[in-house]
Amino acid sequence: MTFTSLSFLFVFLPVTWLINRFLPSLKIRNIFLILASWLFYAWSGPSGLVILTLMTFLIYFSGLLLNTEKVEENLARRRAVFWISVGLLVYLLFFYKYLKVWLSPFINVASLDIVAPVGLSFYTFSAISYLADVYMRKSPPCKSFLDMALFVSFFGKVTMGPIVEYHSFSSQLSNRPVTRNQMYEASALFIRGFAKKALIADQLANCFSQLNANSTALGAWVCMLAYVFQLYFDFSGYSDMAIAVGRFFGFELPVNFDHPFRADSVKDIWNRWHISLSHWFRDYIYFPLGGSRCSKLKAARNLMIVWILTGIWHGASLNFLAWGLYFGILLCIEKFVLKDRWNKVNHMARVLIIFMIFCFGFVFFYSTSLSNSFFHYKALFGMGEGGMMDARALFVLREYFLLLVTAAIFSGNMRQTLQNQLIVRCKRAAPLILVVLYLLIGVLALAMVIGSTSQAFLYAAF
Amino acid sequence: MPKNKNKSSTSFIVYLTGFIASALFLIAFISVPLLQEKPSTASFSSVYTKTIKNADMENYPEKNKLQIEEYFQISPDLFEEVQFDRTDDALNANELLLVKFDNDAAALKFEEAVNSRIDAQKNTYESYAPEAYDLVKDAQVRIHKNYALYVVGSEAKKIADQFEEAL
Repeated sequence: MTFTSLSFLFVFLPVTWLINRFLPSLKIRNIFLILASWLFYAWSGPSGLVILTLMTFLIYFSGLLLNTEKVEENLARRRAVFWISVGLLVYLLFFYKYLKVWLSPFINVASLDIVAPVGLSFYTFSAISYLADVYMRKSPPCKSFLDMALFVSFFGKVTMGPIVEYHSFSSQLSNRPVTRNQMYEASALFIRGFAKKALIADQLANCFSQLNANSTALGAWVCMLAYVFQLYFDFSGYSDMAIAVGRFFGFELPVNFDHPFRADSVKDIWNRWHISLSHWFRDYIYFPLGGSRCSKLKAARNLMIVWILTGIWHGASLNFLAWGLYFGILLCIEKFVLKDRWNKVNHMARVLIIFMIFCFGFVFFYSTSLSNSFFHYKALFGMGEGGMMDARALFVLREYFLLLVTAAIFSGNMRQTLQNQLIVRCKRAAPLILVVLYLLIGVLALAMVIGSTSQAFLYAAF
Repeated sequence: MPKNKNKSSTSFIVYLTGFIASALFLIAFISVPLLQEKPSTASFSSVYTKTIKNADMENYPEKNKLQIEEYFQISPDLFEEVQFDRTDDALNANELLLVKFDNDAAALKFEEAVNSRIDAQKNTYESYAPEAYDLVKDAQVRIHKNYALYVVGSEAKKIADQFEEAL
């Protein structure tokens, strides 16, 4: 079950919301949400739910153990409990995501039947954040198993994030009012996210798939742009829906995207793209390593470690490692070589250059392997077998030109600008017009989904 | 011991037990699939070829697979692939049945069928064909995740061992 599936839209979400709305107390609502979340998660396979539940028990007991007198007063014991727990969580990730790929050159693992549970990368990081927050004394341990279960498994974020850090979520477990205005805003956000996914991302996916094997320069460029916009609208669309779902139940989940294509530096774009992941690595890897409060060499080392791990988090194969290295090196160049000189470049030029740099990096992302990425890079620079262009590339560009332009425009602030203009010009009629518009957009998106043009969420693969 | 210290010790033991138990369960849960036998990815023809390699197959002429219904009272439709080798000479105990399947129910039916066959053959040979009886007594039955072998003959063990290597 995903956020765009009909069973979620018409059955699971409304029924869960209705029941939750009329339950008498917060504690009962929490229990109900846990059961609903487990049902949602088990839809993709019961074995994943066992892993999720066992992991919840593990971090629950670890957190409490870290706070007992016998452990808290003994640094060696504290470290042991923390690192064993984190080690187990990392081992889980390694087992499901990396074991087959990394060990296959050395031992025969082809027949091993290992399928990663949905969302493992996301909720494992949430779990590690809890342990780290307790270990670093940022948060007291969670005394209620039910609260812990809800933090880990809440269906609004369990499959594809946002990666929620415990210290920002814990207070909401015991207090989260929902006002009518929040519901209206959440509904609008949900429809926007749904439209991003169904109307833009899924259509761009067709453009991408038609040109993925194209070796002409034009084909490679259109393919690259289509993929980056597809990824943005797919993942930011999902994130909008996740945040909206959270708000339906009173939770404030962290924003995951903030108009990344308006960024004017590499650092800026990573403060705007998949923000929850960037912040996780910043808070739990970069800062503990020393961040930039050390020598330049160590600061560069810390940056590279973060980006290598970020690349590996996305996938086990070499192209993801290359992706991480690419951005790590660029960030080091920006921080230690260019420094303030970059800010002297014209702002628009910076935005365009950063956008192109970002797109180039994502060629590693959609390549099936490192060697496949070189195929795409060669094509981008006109050195592919197809030359500069062919009939197919031209045809696809003609077909999807308007959509690409629409994607480019709406990846900025256009939606908000248009909405504000509507409110200013139409005044009293604006709310009604907006409601009708949103309903129309929602119906159109639904028609796309029902018409079977919908694709799986891209980040579900991570 | 003061009450607080007592309570603190109890909490420590409870949480430590919970921590160790959940860690062990987690490790066990993800390890179990590793310990289970995996289906062989070898092709049926390669398994058969390797199984009978260097064995004297003169007494194992190929039979139509439909005849396993007659000899074993099981339908060949239960299996993805069947190889049945046996002479028409009823006094000759040599026979080989190699099957490939994709579910545990088929494996179970195979096991029941060959065990019944072994019992029936023993009854047949016990009184008047002691050599054949001995061969049936030493029949080899090897059942794996998606392949199974039943073989009777003087080289039955060798053939069965080669079968396991072929997987």
